[in-house]
Amino acid sequence: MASVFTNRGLYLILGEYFRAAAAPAAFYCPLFTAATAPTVDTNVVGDLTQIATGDGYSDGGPSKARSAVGFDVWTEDDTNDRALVQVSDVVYTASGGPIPASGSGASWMGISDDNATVANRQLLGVFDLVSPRTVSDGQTLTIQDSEFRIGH
Amino acid sequence: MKIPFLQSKGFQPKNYATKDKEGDGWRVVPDVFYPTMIAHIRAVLGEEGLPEELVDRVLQEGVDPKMAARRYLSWARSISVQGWADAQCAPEEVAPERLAERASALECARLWFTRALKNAEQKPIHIRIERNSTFRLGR
Repeated sequence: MASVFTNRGLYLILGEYFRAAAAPAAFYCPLFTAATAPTVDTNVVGDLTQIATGDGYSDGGPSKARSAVGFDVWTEDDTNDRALVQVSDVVYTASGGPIPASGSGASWMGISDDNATVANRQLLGVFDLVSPRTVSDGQTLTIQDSEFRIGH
Repeated sequence: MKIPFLQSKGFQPKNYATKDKEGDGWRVVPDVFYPTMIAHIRAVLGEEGLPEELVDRVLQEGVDPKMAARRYLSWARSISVQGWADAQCAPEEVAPERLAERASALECARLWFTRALKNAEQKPIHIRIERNSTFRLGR
């Protein structure tokens, strides 16, 4: 699954590690339509178009623990001169109707911080879901093994 | 290099990794780990059924425990026999137009392995893949 690690995300990671800048207590996993394609210059959730809320999908998406449980495979790859971390499975369950409740399906899943204002949440990165996804009432969309990569 | 005879049933990822010095992570040696995984995946592709090691042992509400197994099997099936063969060669030995599929095969093998190891451990893992230019994704 292709991923975009935003420049904002790289900046935040460096700041939190080297400068002990404040880190979020948790992350969130918003879903975005294809209306605006994310780039490395994407900064916040409000820069993209989130799918319609309702039927089990809340504004900003489900939370993801800032812990080894939330990011459950961590790799140092000397063969390819890179480091990787995988997001543990993210599950979206449609309840009372489809996800999205209306409009276009989900083409991207983001990882954001936990700002109280969803539109202002900083986006560390986004994952390409390849094609627009919709979930029927009672069904789930599970995003597995999405992986952030930093390399030389 | 000798690759052990593999049976696709009962595949144990821990047999192909060692605990790191601190004892809480895993180290893998590419010239063992990649050929082993490629041989295992090719064996699975020749059989019926799903790779058991990718069926989730820790159940999550609403998630089909066989989802990952089906997804990796589908990915592996999408790679040609030539692609799997190329994955065992150094990138310099592979024609430029085949490098993308070779890289896909290597990534499929790596992610298949990490998912299987996480399943076997039933907890988060961290891994160090040692240096070996033969198994680089590109030139």
